[in-house]
Amino acid sequence: METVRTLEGIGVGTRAVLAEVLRWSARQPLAAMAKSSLGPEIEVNTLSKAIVNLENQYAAKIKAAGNQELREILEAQCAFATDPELADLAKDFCEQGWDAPSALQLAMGEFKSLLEGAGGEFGERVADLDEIVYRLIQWMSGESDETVLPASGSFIIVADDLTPMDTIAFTDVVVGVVTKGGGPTSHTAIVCRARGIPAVVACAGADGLVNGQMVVIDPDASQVIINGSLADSDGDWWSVRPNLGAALIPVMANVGSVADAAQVKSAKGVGLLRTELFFLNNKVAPTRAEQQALYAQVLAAGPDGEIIVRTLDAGSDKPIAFLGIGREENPALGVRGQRVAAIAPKFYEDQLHAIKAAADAVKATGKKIDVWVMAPMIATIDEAQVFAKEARAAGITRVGIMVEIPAITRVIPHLKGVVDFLSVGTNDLSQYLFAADRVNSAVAALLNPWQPALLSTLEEIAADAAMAGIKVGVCGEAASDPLLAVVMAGLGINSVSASPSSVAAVTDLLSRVDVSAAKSAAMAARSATTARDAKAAAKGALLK
Amino acid sequence: MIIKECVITVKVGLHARPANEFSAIAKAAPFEVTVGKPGAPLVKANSPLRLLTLKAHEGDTLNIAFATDDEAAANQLFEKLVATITE
Repeated sequence: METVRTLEGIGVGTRAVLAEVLRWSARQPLAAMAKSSLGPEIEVNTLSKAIVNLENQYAAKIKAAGNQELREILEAQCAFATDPELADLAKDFCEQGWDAPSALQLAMGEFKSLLEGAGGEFGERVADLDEIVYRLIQWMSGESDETVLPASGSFIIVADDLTPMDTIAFTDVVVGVVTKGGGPTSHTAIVCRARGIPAVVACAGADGLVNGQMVVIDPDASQVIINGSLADSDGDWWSVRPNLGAALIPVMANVGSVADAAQVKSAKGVGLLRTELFFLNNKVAPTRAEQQALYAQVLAAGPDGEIIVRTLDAGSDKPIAFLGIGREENPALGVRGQRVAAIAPKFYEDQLHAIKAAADAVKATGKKIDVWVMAPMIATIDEAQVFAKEARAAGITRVGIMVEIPAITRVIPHLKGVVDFLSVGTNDLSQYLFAADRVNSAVAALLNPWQPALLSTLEEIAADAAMAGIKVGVCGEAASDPLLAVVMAGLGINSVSASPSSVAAVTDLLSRVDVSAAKSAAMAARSATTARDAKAAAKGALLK
Repeated sequence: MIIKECVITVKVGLHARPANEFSAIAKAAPFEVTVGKPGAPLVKANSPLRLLTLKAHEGDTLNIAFATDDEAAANQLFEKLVATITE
């Protein structure tokens, strides 16, 4: 038997998968520039036909795009491809004697040169322009090097990188993706996450994978395993532990829409009901009645039990048009979360009353829910007091705060008698603890939730909260990792709230540990000095 | 020709969805609309590629020029255009 080898990358998703490699063809270099032998009229005609064809291709793919983010990328590319300025400029080059593909490249080259030196999002658009040139020339040359997916079977697509046009062509035969390029927030990662396709991106060793080879993608471990089996993946290693019948601590679900709520009807409540997603596209503030109707809809669709509603967490990466948050140099450190209440008090007051009214209305229908409310981005005891007072004035009986700013972790004993519960938001807590921007893939490794400093912080929060007699849950992405959820239980966290697709797996592993197993996993993880070792140690402790 | 000034407040700046909406509105106008940063040449507002090359970020000021003398029509269009690049 050949030795098992692994390739490192960045995992997207949690489910491991074993399948055959299918390499997505690398792009052929474009033909050299050439003068026309047919005359400008024919060249111009060829180009305009190519553009019409591409527009139709985009129209079909935009229609098929289930995900809004992807649809907007395709719409922007389509608008560039059909821009009359591009066609006009290319026509000029045809009239100077160039053939259509050359004229197109020269025309687009002018736009590209104007974007040179532009960093960030403007610089990144150059890739969109290249994609358009490539697609148009491919159509004109009559050659297609597009990989044709087999009608049946299961394949892991391996590519240098994938464009939105590539990924949207994926059918059900695509069960996994490995790319050499990309990062945790690249197009490929977004699409794979949205479609539930496990992937490993930024995998430097992807070049070595060949067609027909059987490989395991293990996104949880951020690895591609060659010559291995699913048993080598992190997927179901814990099935050797007997199921004890119930999860050690309650596993709730994170919900951001009515669809999410309906999907997790069997969860033990909702640990985080995000309200900002309802308002991202609103140009004007919703009325109290409008809010109430929205919340009632989600509450009615979701599970029974405790439902923790978070007040609007706007600002930074979640701009809300109607709140009037100005331009800030460092929005992640600016007016966001509960801080926005100071500039838009009316909305926040309405929101608290709307939540209370919606909860009462849904309870009156016989649904067994208990609605709690918490505020995001609380840094001081004073802020917690102000929020708690307002929430209680609106008739809310269980009031809590998010623990996501390092400052609040230092004063938890003083929250006794101020709030009823705490919920740790590990995403932002990591961002502020490690001074690492959540949306910058260059610092992604610092945001690994297994980082020893984060685990130590969670342990302290749990200990201080227990001493103050306040219940503490974790609702960050980290709680969607089953093994990490066990470690959290071992550190003294009272409940976890996971993403809808992870609730079942987190519940399963938490049903296979008792207090002492969770404590030994937590202790093993806490003794490690790197994120990687912490995870390995926790797993080792459960397999002992 | 009527020229008006505005400030971009959408976070992404003038590309992606804002640029698409902006150019679509300009395209449908009965007169030519051009746009640019103060002191720089104006480009055709109906072209998403030209808009992209302005590299206009959140917080940048834009001059929008309307090739008409109809103040009311220009105002109406200006409001529509501004709505696509402000929050």
